[in-house]
Amino acid sequence: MAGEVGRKYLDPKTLTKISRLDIRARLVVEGFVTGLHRSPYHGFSVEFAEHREYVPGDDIKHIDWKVYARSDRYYIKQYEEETNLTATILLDGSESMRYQSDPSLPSKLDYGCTVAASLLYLILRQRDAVGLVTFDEEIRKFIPPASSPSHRNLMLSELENLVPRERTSLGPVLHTMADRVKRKGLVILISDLLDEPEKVLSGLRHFRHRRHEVIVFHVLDVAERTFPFNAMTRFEGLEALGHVICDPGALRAAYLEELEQFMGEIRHGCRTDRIDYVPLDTSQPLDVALTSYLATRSGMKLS
Amino acid sequence: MEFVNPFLMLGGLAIAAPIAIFLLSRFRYRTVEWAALTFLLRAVKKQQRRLRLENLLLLLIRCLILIAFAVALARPRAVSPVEVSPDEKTQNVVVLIDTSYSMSYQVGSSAEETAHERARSAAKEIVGALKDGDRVLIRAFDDVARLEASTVPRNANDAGRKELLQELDDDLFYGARARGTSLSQVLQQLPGMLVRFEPNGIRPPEGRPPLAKTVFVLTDAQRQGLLDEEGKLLEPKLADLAKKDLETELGATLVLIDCGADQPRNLSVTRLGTREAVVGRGLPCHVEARVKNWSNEDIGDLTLKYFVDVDEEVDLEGGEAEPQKIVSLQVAAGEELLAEPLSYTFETPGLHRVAVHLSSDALTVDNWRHYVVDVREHVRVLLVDGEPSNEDWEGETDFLYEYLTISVSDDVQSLISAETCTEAELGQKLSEAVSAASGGEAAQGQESLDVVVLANVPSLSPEDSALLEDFVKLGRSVIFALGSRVDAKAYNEFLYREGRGLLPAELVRVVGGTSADASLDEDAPAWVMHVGDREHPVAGLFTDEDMVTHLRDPSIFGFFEAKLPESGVSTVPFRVNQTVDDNVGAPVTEEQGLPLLVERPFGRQGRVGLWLTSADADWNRLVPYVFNYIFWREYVLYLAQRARPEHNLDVGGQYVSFIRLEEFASKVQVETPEDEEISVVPEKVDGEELYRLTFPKEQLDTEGGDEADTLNRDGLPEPGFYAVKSSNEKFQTDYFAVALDGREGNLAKFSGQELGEALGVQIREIRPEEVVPSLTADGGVGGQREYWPELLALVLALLVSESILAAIFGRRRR
Repeated sequence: MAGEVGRKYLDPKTLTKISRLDIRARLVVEGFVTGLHRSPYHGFSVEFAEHREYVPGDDIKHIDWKVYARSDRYYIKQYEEETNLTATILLDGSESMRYQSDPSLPSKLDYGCTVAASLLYLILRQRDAVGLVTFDEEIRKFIPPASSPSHRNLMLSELENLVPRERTSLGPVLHTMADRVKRKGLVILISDLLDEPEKVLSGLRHFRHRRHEVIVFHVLDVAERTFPFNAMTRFEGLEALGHVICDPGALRAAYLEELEQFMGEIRHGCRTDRIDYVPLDTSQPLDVALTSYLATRSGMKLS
Repeated sequence: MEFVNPFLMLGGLAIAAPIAIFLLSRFRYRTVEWAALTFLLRAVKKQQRRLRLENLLLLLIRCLILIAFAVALARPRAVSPVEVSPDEKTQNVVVLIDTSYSMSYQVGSSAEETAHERARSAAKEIVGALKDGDRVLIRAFDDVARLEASTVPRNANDAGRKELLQELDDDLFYGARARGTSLSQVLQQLPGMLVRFEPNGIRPPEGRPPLAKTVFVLTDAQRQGLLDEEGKLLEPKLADLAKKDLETELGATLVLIDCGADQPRNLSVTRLGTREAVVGRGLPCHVEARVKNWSNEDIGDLTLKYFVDVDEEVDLEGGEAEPQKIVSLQVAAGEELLAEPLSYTFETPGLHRVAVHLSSDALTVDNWRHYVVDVREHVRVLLVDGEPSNEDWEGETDFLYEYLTISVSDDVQSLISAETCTEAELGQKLSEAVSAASGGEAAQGQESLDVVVLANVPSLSPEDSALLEDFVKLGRSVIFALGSRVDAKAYNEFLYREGRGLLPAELVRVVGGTSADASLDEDAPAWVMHVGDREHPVAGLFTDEDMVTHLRDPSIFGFFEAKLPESGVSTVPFRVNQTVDDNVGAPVTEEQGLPLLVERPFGRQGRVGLWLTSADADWNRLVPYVFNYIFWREYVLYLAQRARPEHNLDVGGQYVSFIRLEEFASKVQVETPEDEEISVVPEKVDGEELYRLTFPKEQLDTEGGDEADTLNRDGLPEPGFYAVKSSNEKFQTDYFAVALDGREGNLAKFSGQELGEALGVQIREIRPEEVVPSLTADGGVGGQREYWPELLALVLALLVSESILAAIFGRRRR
């Protein structure tokens, strides 16, 4: 029940109505955490925190056999997490992220900001260090990773004041950042990836080369995923790409094919380099992003 | 290929709609911002060509649908008849119904069973036997164009047949008329009717066969006016028309349906009139009737009744009126007989009505004939002596006066009242006459001059010329008799005026000389008269064998050579020819010789005669001869007949009279023989204090449906007496009689074979009762294949393919 309630609050349509990003992010995370009640991802790898009674479904390897021997009850050992993870969130603030097909849905940038804020929250909640990079053609702002609450406010205010502008140029930005983020950690890229796939992939590969774990949240508007237009339309390109007049109904198949090919290339490239690739659209609940993060996070620990 | 409704092809213009939508859609779009333009651009690049093709294909199909539909509505069909089963054949039928008065011949036992009714019911049977898809045009004919119920072929569907059957009962369109027949005229009009069946109403171009058409001619097959006794066409050009136009170019098959009696027997009263040109009050006159037996057998025991001034037509028809005289007759086969005339003396001047009735036969309408006699108190003649003399018989007009005023017998006055005057007195006399004739107060209650004879008057002053013109314009007449004193130059200048003046011809020179010279010179050329215009009433008197000698007896020694105006208004009743001893008796044709008498109508009603030799014995030896006596009396009386109003008209003619201002009433009633009263509105004559009264009104171009218009188109519709009455007391009731065309009584027939041979085409002849079998047995006419069902199927197929293609293209787009 609680999960369902949380999921309802995580619905982007609801969340975008909350103007303050920090509250929005906290709600996402709290709701998410409540939903993850029995999630196996809740820190097992760091220092012991407390015992909790075993319920069916828990991994039996976490049962504390010593307690069992003493009390004849099954308890599970839970641990406090360590702040040994350094995460860097790269948020695309180019003009193409401004796109918003439906006023009731967030724009790609809003969605991306919410995702970024939620991740900040979650990561900081687990006492890990997190940094934020906003960029367009070049890096706009780089807030190095840290784990203090004041640091969180700095990042949140950067997110709230982010204005989309300029073109996307992922390749150079990723390469620059790969050079600048020295400490091995987790790199989270939130972008619509509207650049040439090879450049995007080569930048991501650079991170991998530096032994970073990489998650790519590929944020697209729902309209960009479905191309729901029918009447004759003039499409004005963002990022000064010109315009095109066409009958979108007739082009839908071809467009989706192109998009699929693009996403396929990215997906394939990510898989090759063991990068988590998470396609998102702005109508999807935000916990998808968080779940993916946690999966990667635990994977890092497990590996 | 041809089209039944070619104008519906315009519906094809609807293809503009999809094209417009197609073009408009390219300029009507909404604008959205778009981030992922790269993919879109790539997609566009890949798909544009295919999409454009798809769109154009759909557009093409949609246009084709509209075009095919419009063409289907226009109903294309094969130009040439195709072999189809008889049930599918559509027929193009023209029905011509003879409505001339000979069709009123009673063919059955009751009076209603006439040839005309037989023709009408045969026409109804033809209409009834037509099927959906057949087309028909029905037309009544006689000797004038008839009001047509329809000028375009009509479809013989249920509603069309019903309408046609109703129209056939309508006397307005198909009722019997009192007119003659002109089958040759209707044959000449036939191509115009047939061509309306052709696509677009035009003749098929060369190389394309015409539609087959059947022309049913419902008539009594009268020979007169069409074929001569040997079976030759009276109008030979009809043969070309029939072969080339009707058969070859328009695909017509003529079917003759003889609705008349097998052995018709008919007698007609072909003429009724008075022997005297002008009838005087208190003078005996002779009412003459001619009776023609058109049949091949002698017919006896006939009675002819004369009626005078019987008021009501009803009394005549009902036999209640007392005849003035009854004559028994026997008429040999083919003979035309002048019945014993009615001698009658009218005691009052004015208009009197005379009718005759011949004992009945099967065609009653021509057994009656009506005539209106204008009885005159006097005919007043003014003789102007251009060479007066105190000695007896030496004056120019002395002989004339004698001839004209001679009494028929001692106890009756002479009809002609003549007076002589000199040239100097002419002006005074004329102005009095003009004033009297135009209704001025000076001459109230007194008859004005009728004829002025100018004998050897040297010249006229311009004032006198003008007065004389006014006088003639009022319906009076003038005769110029010439002589040695005449100044030809002055005559030409003031009286001929290059054809615009009174004189009927220009004077050129004097031919020959005086009789005195001639008597001294034995070799002097003498000229002899002959008739120049046999139709002229006075010249016509001298065409009989025993009268011709009167022309030849007198010699003429001198006369003016005259040059006739080119306008053709002048006629030449008498000519002169030079005699050569050897061939005095040789026949002379009408065109030969020089004019002796030239006549022209002048103004509204008057006539002018130009006697080119002298009125006395100066230039000829006419004076003692019978010719001179007859000619001058008859010619003066003929000219004295007022040209208008004419009181004896023919069916189809028009009554015209003029009424003076004080007689005017806003409406004048015309009472027809059928006792109908029809109002006529007098029309003002420009520039004169006169009103013109016409009945029926001038022919109208508009196709009106009411009775009055029908009358207008056909002229005077029926024979009998008409009375013209007005509420104005000063207006004297006017009468006029309308007579039938007597030739129409000739019921001698032609057969279909005979006509076919004359025309050089195949003509089928069937009995009226065979009409329906002839239509249904073999169809008789070819059918034409129509293509609209195929076109509709094409439209359907195109619609289906459009839907399928749109769905396929659409699904790919979804």
